[in-house]
Amino acid sequence: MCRNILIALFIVFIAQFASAEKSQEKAQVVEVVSVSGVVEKSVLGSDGKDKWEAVKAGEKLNELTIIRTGFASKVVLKFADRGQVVVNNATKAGIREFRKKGNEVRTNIGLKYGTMHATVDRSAGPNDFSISTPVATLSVRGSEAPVGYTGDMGMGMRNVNGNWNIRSDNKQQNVSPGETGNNLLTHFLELARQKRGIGIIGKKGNLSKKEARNLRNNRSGLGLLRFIGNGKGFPGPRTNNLYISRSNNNRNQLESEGENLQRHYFYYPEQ
Amino acid sequence: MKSKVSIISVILAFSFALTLVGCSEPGEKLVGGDATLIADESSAAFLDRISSQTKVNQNDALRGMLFLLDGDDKATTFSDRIEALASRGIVDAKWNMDASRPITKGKLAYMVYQAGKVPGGVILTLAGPSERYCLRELQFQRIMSQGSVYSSVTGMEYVAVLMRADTYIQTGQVDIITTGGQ
Repeated sequence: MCRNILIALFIVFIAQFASAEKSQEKAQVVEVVSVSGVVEKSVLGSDGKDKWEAVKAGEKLNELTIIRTGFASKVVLKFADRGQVVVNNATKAGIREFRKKGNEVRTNIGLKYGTMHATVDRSAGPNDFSISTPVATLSVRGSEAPVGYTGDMGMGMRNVNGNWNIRSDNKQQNVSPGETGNNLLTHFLELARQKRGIGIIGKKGNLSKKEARNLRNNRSGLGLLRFIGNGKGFPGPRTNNLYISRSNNNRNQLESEGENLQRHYFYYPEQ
Repeated sequence: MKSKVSIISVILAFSFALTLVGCSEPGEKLVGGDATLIADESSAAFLDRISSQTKVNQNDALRGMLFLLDGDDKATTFSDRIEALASRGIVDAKWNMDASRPITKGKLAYMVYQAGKVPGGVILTLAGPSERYCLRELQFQRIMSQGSVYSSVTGMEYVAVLMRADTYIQTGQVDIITTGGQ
């Protein structure tokens, strides 16, 4: 009997503690900075069903607002002094959480499909910012990254600044600036290897001056055929990842000089 | 021996011809030409609706292409949509079309290839667009995922392809964040 009373008291204490914690949190509003094209938000209609209305610049959005964009459309959302999110074309996303507790702001955005560019600012205080997709959750404490989710190829992100963390299937991966990541937590070097060019071959095989110079200096000795590929890992001009080996002459010279030989990788376009 | 060589050469010539032109079907059959869709639907609402479907029918697929190109679908029936797109070369006039049948990857690839004015490879340049080679080109460019010409397209996949096509039309490239980081 005494034990049951103690358990009941404990539950009441925990519930009160949780509600007190919750009451300290204050919901924030998101400001719409600019809108272009077709951008709609869901609002609860008088009949209790969701209605979709056009979003206007300067409007304030609350938590649990869902936004969807059409083709060639974009909306810029300002999360008070803690960051900015650009929701790109053909995207559906929702503000799951935007709350302030003390000085810390907790933000969570759900992304059903499409892409967005998140810039997180922690100069005003601690910032717990995360983006959830159907397959993974990205979290950050101060940085910038474009993120996308598509139904056929999954989640992809490119870290522009700061450190991001991808969590998927009870596993996680840290992504550093300049690296890319996906929901399979593939290593960024492997992703870079799989990247391929999409343009047709332009002047000098779409190479930058630096890359063209590097090819001239380090080509494998096949003359004009060098762009076709030498069967030793050089995959041709339509790939992004150019494997460049030093010529044998160079190699012998370097070996004689005792230089540490390493494979040289170039990522195209340059990151 | 000589006859064997001639048979092999005939087979090779036939396969080469098929390779060049693709396995196109004779068509010009239209079913459900007067089929209509929801009126006054915005492109955002259209994408949202399609994303929840397991398959995309041809009527919806054509509406998506009109949204992609014009930002609006002024056509009222399925045959109006075919006419609007066939006049611009987006839809092949020889296709068998059925408003309620699912769109295939090959047909979608053909439409996106034509709408995005995607530069093709040697076969596409020499022989013109075909479902097979448009799909291969778009798979190479990561606008479309792997799969065969005749497989149907899911709603989420259709939305993803149109999003990449829209980005491609606007910027001339496909962002890796829309292709699973690759």
